[in-house]
Amino acid sequence: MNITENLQYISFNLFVKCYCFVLAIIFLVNSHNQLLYFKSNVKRKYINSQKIFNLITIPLITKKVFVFYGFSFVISLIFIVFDFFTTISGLLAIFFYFMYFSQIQSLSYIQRKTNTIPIILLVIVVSSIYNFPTYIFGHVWEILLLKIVFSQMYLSAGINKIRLGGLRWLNGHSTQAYLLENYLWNGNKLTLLISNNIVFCAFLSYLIFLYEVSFWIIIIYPQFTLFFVLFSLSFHLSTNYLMKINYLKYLAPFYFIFFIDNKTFIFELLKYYDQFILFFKR
Amino acid sequence: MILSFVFFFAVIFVLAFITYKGIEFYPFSSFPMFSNYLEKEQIKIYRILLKNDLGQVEWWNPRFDRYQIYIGSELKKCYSTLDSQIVNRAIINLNKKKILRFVHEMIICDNVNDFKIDTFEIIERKKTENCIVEVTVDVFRLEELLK
Repeated sequence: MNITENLQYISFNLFVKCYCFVLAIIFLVNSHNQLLYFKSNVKRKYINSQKIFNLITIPLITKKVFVFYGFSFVISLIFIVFDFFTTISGLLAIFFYFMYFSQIQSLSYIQRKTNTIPIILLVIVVSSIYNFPTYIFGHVWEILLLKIVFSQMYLSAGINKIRLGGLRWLNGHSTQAYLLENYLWNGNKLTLLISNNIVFCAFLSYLIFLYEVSFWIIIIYPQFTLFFVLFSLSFHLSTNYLMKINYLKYLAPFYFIFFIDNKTFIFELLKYYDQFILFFKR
Repeated sequence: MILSFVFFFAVIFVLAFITYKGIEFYPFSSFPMFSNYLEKEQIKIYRILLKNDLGQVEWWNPRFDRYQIYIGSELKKCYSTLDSQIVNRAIINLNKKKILRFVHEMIICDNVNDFKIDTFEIIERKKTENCIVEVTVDVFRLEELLK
């Protein structure tokens, strides 16, 4: 095994720690809001019972159990950060994820936006069973798979636009209509201003579609990573401002996977990780 | 090592299948958001305007803004049923009252400010060629809802 391959394996382990740590922080910051949503869902009118793989129905739970599952989810993530029974902690985190998040799936920043969490945790679990790197197509399989999981979100969204809307989806009318609908709900003047300009809406439609169907290119050509990731971030920040759709809240830590191949970035992170561990050992 | 290979290709297979078929297989998804073809003429929403006994008004803005979209789509169903003239108007009216009672419960639950609600107005909002049109389609007094 050469140094580059070794470094890839180290980078994945570093990704696991960064991802779980940041995810735990995001979860803690939003836990109060999520609890309020859980409580506000009077008579569970807007909670759809989620079925895992369209098979396993997740039962509705009480407030106390909801809080317990949330707390246990964070503890499991922290255990993974400290390499403490990673396999079991990962499996427990997946279980707690489904029990907790399925109760608040209808919350705007949860719906579909946290779907990658159990997949990432499952990759961590399978990876932790072996303590040595395995390579597929010259890459550590975990990093390659997670990049594919990430890219599938956009590729599938792009394909769906043509499947459901047809090529006419690109003429700008759909983008215009969605923006107008959001203006009618939220009253953001900029949303209306953009929606009034059909040429600009058509331009946005092409831009979004091309970006979605070509995002996967960064798996093969990592030199385009910065371009696509910056575009992706600005796209999500814009939709958050214009349409109140916050995609980044739980997805943001997943972006680490695209920078983890960068050697300078890894060394900087390793330095911080060492300091972090030292702080707790003191 | 074999497990890693099997797992890797199994996940790829599921992702490819979901993408190809465009189906939901939670936690896997084909992410179909904003994919339908729409035109601005089709866009019409129903929002709730709250009025107090002094005649002051404010939009119902729940803490979690998805609620107004859920409620709006339920109201839209009520009014589209009315258009087709199939169902009795009284039943639809009861349904509207039920929806507004639910909104009232949520307002109490949110407890954001001390705006004393006297009337609920259901406003239809859409865009015509030049401007945004707002039409009050129904008015319900709170005491009438709580009866």
